[in-house]
Amino acid sequence: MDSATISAPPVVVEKGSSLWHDAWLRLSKNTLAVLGACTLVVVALACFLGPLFSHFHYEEQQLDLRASPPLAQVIDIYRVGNLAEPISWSYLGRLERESAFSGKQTTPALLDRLLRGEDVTVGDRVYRLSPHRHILGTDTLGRDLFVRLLYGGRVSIGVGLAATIVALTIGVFYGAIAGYFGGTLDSVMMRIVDIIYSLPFTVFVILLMVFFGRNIYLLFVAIGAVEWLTMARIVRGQVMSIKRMEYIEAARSLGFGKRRIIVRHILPNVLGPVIVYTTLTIPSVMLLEAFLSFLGLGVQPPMSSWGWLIKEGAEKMEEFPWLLVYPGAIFSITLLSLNFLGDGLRDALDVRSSKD
Amino acid sequence: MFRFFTSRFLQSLLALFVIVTATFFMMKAVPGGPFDSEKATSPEIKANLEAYYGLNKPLVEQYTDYLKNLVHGQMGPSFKYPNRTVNEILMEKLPVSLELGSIALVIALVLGIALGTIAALRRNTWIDYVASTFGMIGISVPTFVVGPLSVLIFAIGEGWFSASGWYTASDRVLPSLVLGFAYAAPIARLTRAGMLEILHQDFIRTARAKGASETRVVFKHAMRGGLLPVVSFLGPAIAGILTGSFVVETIFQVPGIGREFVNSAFNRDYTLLLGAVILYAVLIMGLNLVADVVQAWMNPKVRLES
Repeated sequence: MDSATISAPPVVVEKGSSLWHDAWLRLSKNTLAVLGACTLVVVALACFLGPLFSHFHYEEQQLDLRASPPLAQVIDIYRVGNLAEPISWSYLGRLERESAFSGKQTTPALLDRLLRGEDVTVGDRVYRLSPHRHILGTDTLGRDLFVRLLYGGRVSIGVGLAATIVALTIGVFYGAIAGYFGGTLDSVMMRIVDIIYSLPFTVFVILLMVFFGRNIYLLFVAIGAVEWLTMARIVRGQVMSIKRMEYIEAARSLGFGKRRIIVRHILPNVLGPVIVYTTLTIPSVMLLEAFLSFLGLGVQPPMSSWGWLIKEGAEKMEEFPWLLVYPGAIFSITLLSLNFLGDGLRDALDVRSSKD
Repeated sequence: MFRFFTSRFLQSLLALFVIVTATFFMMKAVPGGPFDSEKATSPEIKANLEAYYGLNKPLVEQYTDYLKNLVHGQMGPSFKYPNRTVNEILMEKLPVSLELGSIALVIALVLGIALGTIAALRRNTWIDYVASTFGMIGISVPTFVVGPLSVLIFAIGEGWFSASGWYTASDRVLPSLVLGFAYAAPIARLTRAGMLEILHQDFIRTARAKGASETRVVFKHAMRGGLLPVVSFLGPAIAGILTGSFVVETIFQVPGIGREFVNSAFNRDYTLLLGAVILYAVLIMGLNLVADVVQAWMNPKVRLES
């Protein structure tokens, strides 16, 4: 038989699926995690791009529109003869309640005409339905709550990310050094972590804010400096257990260089827990920032953050509940999404929990 | 076990010393003090005040004086409440916080462990989903949102309970519930995870095979191991129930130590602030120590490693 006619057995190429591919598949099956991720994208985009498209500015005050309820129909009030610049504002509910157009009686007929978009002239004032509404109403200084929420979101998310990066950097380096070198260095470094761990954090952050002023940069440094400990412990544990594993030994005996071992074999396995923990650190950082702002120790006006808006809302909630409800809702939804995503990532990446 | 305890104890003492020293010098380093007020104080009065509080002595002497008094349990007079010592103020406020904390803790433990256990036993049923959702909402929605909302709904809206104060039973309902719910959520999650891990194990199957009743399996066999994560969480959590009540005490106007701490921070009442920090540190570290010891007692693995 001619050797050329012997057909080689068909080679079945087993397409290996990488750790990340597996994780991605598991994650995309987790409805809550996907929902959380989508919500986060929407919230983040809205906060960073939304204000660009808004008619109102976050510091702009319409003093005549103090604490107008959500979606109230704004009425521009002009002086007769000058229809370019409104001299003041009102909203439909108030016109009805006070039943007065500059001293004269409001009648349903007049309101009807206003709603149809006609100009209503009473005395020397012209009333006209404004094309712009405050979607979530205004605060007690007449500022648009929706835009303030978006701006507050920038600060909250920004502080969350920045402080998490601080915590991530310190924690990963500290943990990796301790875990990689081991021995005395490791026990000294970890003893220090233990000691700092037992300090009353919240108390300490409050002290920092009181003593060194309520500076936003200090805020995230302080929070980041508090949150790195867990990261350091996780990274250290991972590095320690991985460097002793047989596949690392195998890689070494195959003659792979240190660099290849670290980049290809140790890092991907440390990365999983780091990503998971990072996702879970962001909400706890945002919570801490909001907590400080709520106590009046966080960012200062005219800047706002979600915590600050919640604080303002809580003070005015009796008369104007929307000032508490919307900031509280968006903050909670964001934290909820981050936690769902973090949980989903943990299930998807953590080898320990994937067996059940 | 004894060595384990002593080393942890010494470590806590060292940490306490670091805290006292750091806070003391930080306070001294900051410009401005409690006697700066709108109206100018005459130099004589200021000198007298400083002499009274020992502020005219060299910094190192002030520090050693403070440490000496502290060893004897004295934290000096308050800056803002003349004629009252820090000890008196703290001792007056502490019972209030402890009462609030204990009620909340009972609520958190009962609710959290019950929900977590049921969720683990009925895994992937609607009960599990409800319990897990509760857990997730509980850890995501902060007390400073839940608190004001509960006031809005149950105090102002329905008028069932009072919104603030700490006099009658009705005053205690909302703050205890809000604080309790906040801690029930993580406890429920930890319990569920811990119980799930334990219920898979061979010794549980053995117990079932031997005909032990489900109640006995759950309470006698599974809980001891399944609640381990909860125990290690409880140390910091109990401390957190006391410190975390900054917010709850502020919202509900509870005259406890959390509110006093925040007020003293705003008033720059340094001696009171330092006293409160020390009290918190002792509480937190003491409870962490207890949690470590209990954990070691419950888990032979930890016991042997130490």
